[in-house]
Amino acid sequence: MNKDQSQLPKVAFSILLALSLRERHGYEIIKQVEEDSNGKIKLGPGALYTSIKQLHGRGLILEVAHKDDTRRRYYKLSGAGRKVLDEELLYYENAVALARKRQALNHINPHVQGA
Amino acid sequence: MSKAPKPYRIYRALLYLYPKAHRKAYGEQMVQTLDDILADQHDISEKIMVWIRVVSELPLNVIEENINNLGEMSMGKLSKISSKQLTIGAGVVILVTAGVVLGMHLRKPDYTPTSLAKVEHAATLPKCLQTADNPNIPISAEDRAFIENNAAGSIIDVPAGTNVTAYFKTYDGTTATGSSVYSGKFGSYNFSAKKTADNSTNSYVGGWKITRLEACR
Repeated sequence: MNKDQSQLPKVAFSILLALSLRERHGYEIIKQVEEDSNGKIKLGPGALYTSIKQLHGRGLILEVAHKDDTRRRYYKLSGAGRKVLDEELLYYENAVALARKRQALNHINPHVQGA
Repeated sequence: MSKAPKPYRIYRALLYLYPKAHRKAYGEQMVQTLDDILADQHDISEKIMVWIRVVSELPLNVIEENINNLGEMSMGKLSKISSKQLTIGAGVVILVTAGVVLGMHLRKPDYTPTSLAKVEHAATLPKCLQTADNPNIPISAEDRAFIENNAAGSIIDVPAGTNVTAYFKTYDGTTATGSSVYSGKFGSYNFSAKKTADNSTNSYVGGWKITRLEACR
């Protein structure tokens, strides 16, 4: 992926981020995404599994069997998913650094100073 | 195995709006996730908000999945579906599904107590009555004592009429089976209770012995 270009929809990015620490089942993903977005992204089962299907189809996440919980399907980042997430994070990091340099964030947070 | 409660059956039915492949791959997990979400809500207003979220996301989600599934459809045919038609279709699906799901969710439970049992109906079915395969998980001594002294003790025979905090489906005169629902630390439980004192007044504390206790997840 070009580091100057974001390739993931916001929800997909949030799901990958939610899976960056450990494997999770559906509701755990929903809760983590909601927490990470300060409540701005509230997924229902439909939207969640549409995104999961797309991420799984692209090979960015893997299904994991959980011996203690056979009713729920767990998901974890694949190697490709980790790479894409890292690239996305780098893209956002660069974007924020650029914004700081241009003092474009000052109206959002007056304490942010140019680099 | 008992049938799932109506809201879940309706949700399962709504899943038929999705392409078969999607339903087959993710349908069970969607129901399980909905069950997990609802189990984590503590009152009826929170549960209703969940249903509203689920129902409101459904039309566009269904449309998106079906469009994705129409890979063989040419863009020329696809372009004949105007955005206005899509909006009208989505609106109709939202109204129908919202009405059906919320209407069913607010209905009283459809089980019938025996003539010897008297049950005060909850606004919704206790969660434990909603599934047939609640796993056994450890229960603290504190919770068990609370259930024995309060939940089962609140089961009443005719003609008692005090508040009931336990719910049961079957009662053969000595053994009651059902659920008791408490918010906060006590959570939700399925139980069987055996009558140990032969009285028929309002006071049953200590008159019942828990023979099976199973926490809901």
